[in-house]
Amino acid sequence: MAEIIMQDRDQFFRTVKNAIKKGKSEHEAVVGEFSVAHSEDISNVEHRIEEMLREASQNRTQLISQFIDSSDKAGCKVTRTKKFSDATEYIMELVDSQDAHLIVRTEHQIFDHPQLDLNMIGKNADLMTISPFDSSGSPQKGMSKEQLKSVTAQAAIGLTGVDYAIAETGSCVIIPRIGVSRLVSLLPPIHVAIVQSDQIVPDLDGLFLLRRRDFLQGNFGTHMNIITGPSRSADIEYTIVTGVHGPAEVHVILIEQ
Amino acid sequence: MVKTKTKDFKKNSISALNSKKIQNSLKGLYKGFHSARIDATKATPNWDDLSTRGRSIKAHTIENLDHYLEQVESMVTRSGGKVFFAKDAQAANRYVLDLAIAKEVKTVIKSKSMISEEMGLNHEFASVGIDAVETDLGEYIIQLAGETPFHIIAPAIHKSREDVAELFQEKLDAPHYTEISEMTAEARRQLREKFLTADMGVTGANFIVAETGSVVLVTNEGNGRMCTSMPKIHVAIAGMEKVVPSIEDLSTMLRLLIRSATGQKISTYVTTVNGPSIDKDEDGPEEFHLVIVDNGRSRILADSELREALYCLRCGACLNACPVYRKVGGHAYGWVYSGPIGAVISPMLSGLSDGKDLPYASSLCGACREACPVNIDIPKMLLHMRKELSEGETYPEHKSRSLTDQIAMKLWRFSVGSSIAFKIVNLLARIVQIPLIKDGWIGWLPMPFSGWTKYRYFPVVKKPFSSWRNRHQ
Repeated sequence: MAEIIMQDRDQFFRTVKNAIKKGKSEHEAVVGEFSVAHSEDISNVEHRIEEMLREASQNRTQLISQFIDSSDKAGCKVTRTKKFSDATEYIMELVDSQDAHLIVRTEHQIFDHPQLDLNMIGKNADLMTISPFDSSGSPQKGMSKEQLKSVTAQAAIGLTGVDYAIAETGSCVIIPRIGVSRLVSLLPPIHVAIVQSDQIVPDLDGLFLLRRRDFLQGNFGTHMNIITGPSRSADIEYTIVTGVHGPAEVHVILIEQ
Repeated sequence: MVKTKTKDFKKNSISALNSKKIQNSLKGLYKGFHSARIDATKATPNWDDLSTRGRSIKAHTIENLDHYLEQVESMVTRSGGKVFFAKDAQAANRYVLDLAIAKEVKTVIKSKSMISEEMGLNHEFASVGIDAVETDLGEYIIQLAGETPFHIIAPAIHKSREDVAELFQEKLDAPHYTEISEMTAEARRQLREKFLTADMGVTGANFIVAETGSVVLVTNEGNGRMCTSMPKIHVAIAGMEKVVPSIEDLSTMLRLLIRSATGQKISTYVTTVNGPSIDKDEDGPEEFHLVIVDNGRSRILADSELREALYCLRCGACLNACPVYRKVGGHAYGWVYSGPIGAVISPMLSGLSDGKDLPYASSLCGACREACPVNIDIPKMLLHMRKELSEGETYPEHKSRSLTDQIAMKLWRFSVGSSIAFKIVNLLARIVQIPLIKDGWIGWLPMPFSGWTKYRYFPVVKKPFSSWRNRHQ
């Protein structure tokens, strides 16, 4: 089997190489400059990041309003506040209005904030952390990966932080890892994302620049989701409907520092 | 491999033109996608620069495709995934099927992938008794109906809500819904069950990043996330032209693709996947396979006139802009890829002899070139293909010029060869045409020239220019 695959591979590359040679044309051979240097070293990337972040912090107010505007246009329900306690309150109200019995959450660092009162949020509904480990770092009792999956599927609300947010597009970026399940922002019908204003990068260029550094530092992870608004489709008669396979509602709570 | 119906273009278009329902749904394209794209590109600062940059990235990658494919291979392998290079659809199908059988896969969930349509993968799964379910709403509908995609990004757009209601009633035993939201909810319920139990997820790839070995998926519904996160095995299948060099190229490419496809600034979900999940405690698949497919693409690569067809991002903008597509719709083209870009790549991938009508399915008005986010010169390529077809230079076995055309061309060559011969033929033509002229045009010609007047008027033969000049000198 492996031998056949190798033969196939070599033949594939021979064909591609010959085709490239045969179809070479004079006018397209010189291609426009494009600046991404593949051998670029990490210090150069760091330098570009520094510049990007400096500019972003100078334009913070503008980035915040751009993020809110884009996020709103994409169909998110955006709330902005300066206090974490408001976030607690907002989530509690949502739990009540939805009559939610089960909420699942990730282990994003934001949940460690003392004023984000998880006990209060968990007062009227079960609040479960979707992680193979409990808060003390030992394996969750009796919870296999498959069980965590089915628990997540039963939850009414998925609660997450974000790793980045993007002003240009109004997106929340979540990079899954242990403690940050891929499914908390996907399976429940409502996704609530808590964003801190300093997590907002100006645009997609900024995001992928940061991701490039992650990659060069061996920190890329296996997955990333850029999430912008509720799951939607226009496949029948161009009519937009939400909640096709993912959440029908995305609530963004923006906390300004 | 799916059976192509590209040779039935004329027959298929006539039936589409006569179908009120298809004409109705095609009307929505303009407002639904075409205007949305134009608004989005206008709202994007420096759209033209972005477009030029995107084209450069594609041109550079395609010129160095072997290098970047090797980089993809090494990066995916390094992150624990497996890469298979398939020379054709058959080899790709065999790899995926062998894998599914070896892993005792019973249910496969699929996210929309044009290349798996091109390969006829669903049919292959069915032949070995594996349940492969399309999970994109549009694809789900056409799978239930047993049809092929009508449009690259809106596969079931030719179906009315009533059609879908009837289909769900018949195939799913569902109540007769009237609201689109109810139908969507039904699909969500049906497919949620599959997402939770499937053993394998199959997706396409909108891009593959060589630098990082990432597969990038652009979706709105969330099914792409499901297929890459829920089952134990994820198989991504991609045409070999999908590579971009760096993760930083994605900002340009995503803007171009998504704004041109639906007019959104960004799709609801953009997902990047790097191999299987590393840690056994992390969720995500345990196995990741990337199948990179040639299946005729090297033929396009080897043709300097057509090579830029490989820059195509599959956004569908040229379909929505095309006056021919907007009248005949996707099924007339008889295969997976329709519209102007389909008229170029379908014959190249599936065989020129079957698709020889497709390069003529265009008025060469240039709307496709204008709509294309990477400025692919589709009219130029269609002209090139017409020339090849009629002269049979590169494809001698496909020489298609009819006997009538050949005789007519010989006569034409003879008559323009000398001024006396030209005057005589011109005079004869002006006499012969008299009974055929109606309102200044010729509406009907007898056999064997009837084909020339079947769908259009033939201009009246006038006095030669030389006689006009002589009179006015």
